[in-house]
Amino acid sequence: MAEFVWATAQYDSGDWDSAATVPANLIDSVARYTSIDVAPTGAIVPLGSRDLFKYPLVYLTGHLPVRFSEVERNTLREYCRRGGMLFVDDHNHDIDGEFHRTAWEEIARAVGPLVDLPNDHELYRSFFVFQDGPPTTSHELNGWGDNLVHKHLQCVMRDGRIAVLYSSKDYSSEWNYHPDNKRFLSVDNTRFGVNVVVYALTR
Amino acid sequence: MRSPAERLAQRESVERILRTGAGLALVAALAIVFWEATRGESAVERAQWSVEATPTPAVRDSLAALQRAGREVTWSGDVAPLMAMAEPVREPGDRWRIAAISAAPLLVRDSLGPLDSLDAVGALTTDAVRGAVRVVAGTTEARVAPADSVTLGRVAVYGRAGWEPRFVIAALEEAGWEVDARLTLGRDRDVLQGEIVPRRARHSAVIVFDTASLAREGALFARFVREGGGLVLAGDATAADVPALRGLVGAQVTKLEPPETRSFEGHEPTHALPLHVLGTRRADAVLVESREGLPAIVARRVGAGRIVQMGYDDTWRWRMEGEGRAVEEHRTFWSRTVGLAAAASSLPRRAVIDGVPAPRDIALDDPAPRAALIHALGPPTTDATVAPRGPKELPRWLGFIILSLLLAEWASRRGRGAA
Repeated sequence: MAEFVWATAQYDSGDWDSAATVPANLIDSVARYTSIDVAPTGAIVPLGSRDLFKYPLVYLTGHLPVRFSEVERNTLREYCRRGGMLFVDDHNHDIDGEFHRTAWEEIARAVGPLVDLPNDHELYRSFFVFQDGPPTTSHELNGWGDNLVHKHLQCVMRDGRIAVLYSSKDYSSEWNYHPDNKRFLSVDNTRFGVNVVVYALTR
Repeated sequence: MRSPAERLAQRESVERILRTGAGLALVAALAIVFWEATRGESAVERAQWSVEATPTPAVRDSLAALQRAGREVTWSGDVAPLMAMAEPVREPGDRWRIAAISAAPLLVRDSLGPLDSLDAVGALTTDAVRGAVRVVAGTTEARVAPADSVTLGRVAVYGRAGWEPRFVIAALEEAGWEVDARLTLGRDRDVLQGEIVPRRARHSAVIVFDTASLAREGALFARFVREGGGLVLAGDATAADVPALRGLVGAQVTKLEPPETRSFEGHEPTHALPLHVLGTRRADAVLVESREGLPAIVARRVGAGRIVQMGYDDTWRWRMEGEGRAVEEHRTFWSRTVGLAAAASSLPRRAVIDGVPAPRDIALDDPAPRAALIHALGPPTTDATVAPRGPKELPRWLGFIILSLLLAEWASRRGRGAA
């Protein structure tokens, strides 16, 4: 059986590689907490490439405006139709920021409009239990970005499953450190990332 | 010399005899006439029947009854060999598989209309059957009335969390199956969906993807199959050798064949998948599918159930990377594979004639008209004359007797001076 590969989407506009250590950190968490066969290194996959279909879960982040090309848009639409899941995180943590506004527009154009994901959704119980919905980040609590604690994640649902998961919480900053430094945390803050992976692999 | 009184008495005596005899003869003659005139309609001694169209079962049965009553009934004509069948597909969706064997092209219709003049060769699957199905080949018409509808249970899926079980579950749910699942994430950590313990009252089939589940629950799966359930072994489980199933599976995996190509473009989708080659097969196992001569899917009956071994691995790549209608093809492929093994209960369905449910004792089926005709009346003869004979003509001698008796009666009355 094929192993799970953490894949990061490379798109033509913006800084797609702004959270370079997130993949290694999440791979470490998946291997640490589960028995899922996970590849030791992640992959980078162009959003407009047929290779996108080799990775049914893809992570996309950045700070800068997001403008998909027509090919990227069509590929993403087909990817979600076939059952792929795109996990988008705003690295700005700013709902008035360029990434947020443009990413929402592009996702709506390619897949469909984003709506709030209920905080009792199974995503929050797929491995670790998050009673109050998406865990907060230190960037929210410190008042950075838009100075908001976002109560919900957003999603585009397809056939009862999450096709696009969108976060304004800036997990890209929260998880962007070397896995060795987890030992300094009282609670591993990447645990929600494990839930995202487990959800994608089981629902 | 007799006296006039004696002569008168003698003449009266003769007249009485003649009168009585003529009356009796007349009655007898009329009885004979009636018998001769009517017996031809009720008692055909020999019938030669030329068939121009497929006889209905009622006509065929009538002729067979005549033959069993001792009459000679033969037939001739052009009734082409044809056999048709309609059986419910063991998948969600109330579909029917209509199959026919004939040398001629087939025309398929159903009695209530949705299936109208559909050309087919060999077999077709349809969800549009309403009422009896008519299959026409040349001048021969077979009729089959789908008699049952299928009730399917749920599918239980066991495996480790991964893309293969995840996309197979998605495909089955999209195809209409209801799925329970147990996907392992780690020690004592499973993702559960529904009630997973397989039992015939709830489940039609179980799919197992991983060796650990097979080793842990093997005895349970074996009992489930013997009780009539279906077991599909896929992924690593195809090659697993666990004691509880060792004597039950139809084949052993001899090697893992890599994909013939990494790309789905321009290739059969299954050629881009790794294959557990089911090389050593038991004599009573059925080879369902092969790839370039390598056994890929094998099925075997076990007890009241079936075990299907699926050699293709990582079929999720077919759905994600395949060309064109890959999603639909992958969905159909898995629904069909589960359908090969799935147990199903049948519910009787009443036949419908012209929109009205038929009485339960009416048999509408005529799946093989020529075979049925030969079974009922024997093989055809070459003589094609139409034979059932009408009433017999009166014999001439009988007419002569009747005329003579009438003349005698008339003479007797004239001799006596009667009016």
